[in-house]
Amino acid sequence: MRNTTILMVVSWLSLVVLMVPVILFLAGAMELAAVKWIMLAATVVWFATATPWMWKQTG
Amino acid sequence: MSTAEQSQETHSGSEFEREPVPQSRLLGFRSFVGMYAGEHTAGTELMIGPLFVAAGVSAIDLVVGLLVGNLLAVLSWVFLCAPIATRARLTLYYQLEKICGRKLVTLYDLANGVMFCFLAGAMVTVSATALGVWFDFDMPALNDWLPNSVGWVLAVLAAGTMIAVVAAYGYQIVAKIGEIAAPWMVLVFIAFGLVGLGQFIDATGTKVTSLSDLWALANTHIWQGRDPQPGQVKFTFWHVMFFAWFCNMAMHIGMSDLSVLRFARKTWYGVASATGMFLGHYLAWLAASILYALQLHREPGNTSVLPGPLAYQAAGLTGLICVIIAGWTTANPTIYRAGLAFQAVIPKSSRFRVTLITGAIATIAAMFPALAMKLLDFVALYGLVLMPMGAVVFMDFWVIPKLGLHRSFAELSGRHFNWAAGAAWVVTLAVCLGIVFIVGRWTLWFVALPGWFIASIVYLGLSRVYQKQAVLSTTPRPVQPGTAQA
Repeated sequence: MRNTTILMVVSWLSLVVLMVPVILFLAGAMELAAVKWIMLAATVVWFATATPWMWKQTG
Repeated sequence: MSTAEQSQETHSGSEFEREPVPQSRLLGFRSFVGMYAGEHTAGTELMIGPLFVAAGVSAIDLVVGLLVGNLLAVLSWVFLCAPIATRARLTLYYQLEKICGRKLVTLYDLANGVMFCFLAGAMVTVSATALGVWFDFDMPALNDWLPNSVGWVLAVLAAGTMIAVVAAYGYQIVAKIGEIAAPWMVLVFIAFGLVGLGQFIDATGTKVTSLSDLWALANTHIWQGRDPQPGQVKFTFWHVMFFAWFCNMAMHIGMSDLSVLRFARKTWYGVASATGMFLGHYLAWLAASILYALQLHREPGNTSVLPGPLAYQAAGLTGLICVIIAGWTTANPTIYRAGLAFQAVIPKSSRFRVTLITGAIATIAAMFPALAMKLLDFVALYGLVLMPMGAVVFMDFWVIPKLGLHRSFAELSGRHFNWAAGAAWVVTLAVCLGIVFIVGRWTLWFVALPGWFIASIVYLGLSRVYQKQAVLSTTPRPVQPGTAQA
């Protein structure tokens, strides 16, 4: 139960991390190359952490 | 289990295929929110957005047209589809069988299967464009009808084969991957738009400090409202509005989503479709169109609409993964549904074999880029072909009893082909397609509106004659209890 909660928090945080660099790029505060790498890392974290609890949730 | 899965199970015959959904199996609002958001944020959104730009749409026409059109689509789900779904609680197929008879439903299944097959083909095309970024082969241009390189054919073959094989083994695992990917995918679609906007600001040297600056950028550089690309129809506010309203016409006005919304506790759950419309058909279309406009800004001669390269330049590998997952997770259930529709036509065939054959047809169709490049036309045609049966269901449920006629007449009379419904379908399509061929291609996005009234009037008029002439069977079977509530 505790592990699931941690996974849920990390997965939702990864979506925040996915979008923050995009907004920084739009504001001219970050290079696109860095944005792409952070998005990829956030993607990996999302699928790694969301899959266990969402798989259970979807039955 | 998600609503979509239940719907699939139902169609494949596992439960509630021929009975109303019981109270104990009804679902809450959240199930529908997630389902609609996921289902309408598909790979094809990355084709549709750019095609608006190729059609020379202006900023105001696109932004307001999509707003109004998507709102009308949501209202169609709420006021046309959901009220019948939550009263009858039957699948569209069973409801149609009761009204039209087994033989006419078989024809409908065939039409539905063919349309699903081509739609899946367009989704395979989208996935294949992602492979083009990795393997660098020649990809089709905007006006290509035929495959233009061996690499393209092989990429489509690889993507299509994988999708078809997985669909044949059962699409549940892919459906789960789709559900897991959905929140991430929606954000990546939004990221496409924001990155594209940032790149536009850099490329044009525009200073954006207020909404009016942003609107000026949109008008002067992104959606300029110029002449359409060669071979494309010029899109105005009305085209955009009707396209957004009717692109899922088969599901709301065409009543296909009776099979989904019959699980809804309340009629107003139809508003859940707003998540799909305003995330997938508003934000995702706008985002994808920004990426294509940026491509035209940088390389005016490059008019190719290729989701893979567009996504890759905006979001790198994340973009490519998004294109592949978006194409795959939506093509898979579409091929599965097409297979089920064909299986209903040939009931003794194995579902595995039928799905594989369906996937093969979709893959061959995907090799011809005309299918994806003319997606605006195809989507309009898809809704038009299935819409008349939605009108028949609507009239049969609400109006037929008020005229003193019998609802679910095929079931009541034991007939296998209700000629009133069949004629409504054929006459409507003949009139609508006749208008398109005679008046012009631009009418394709509008004819479904008068078409709905034509189908309704023909069905009501012929039912009056048909039911009076028909001799009712001496021992009519009772109508299902759930259908008699309205």
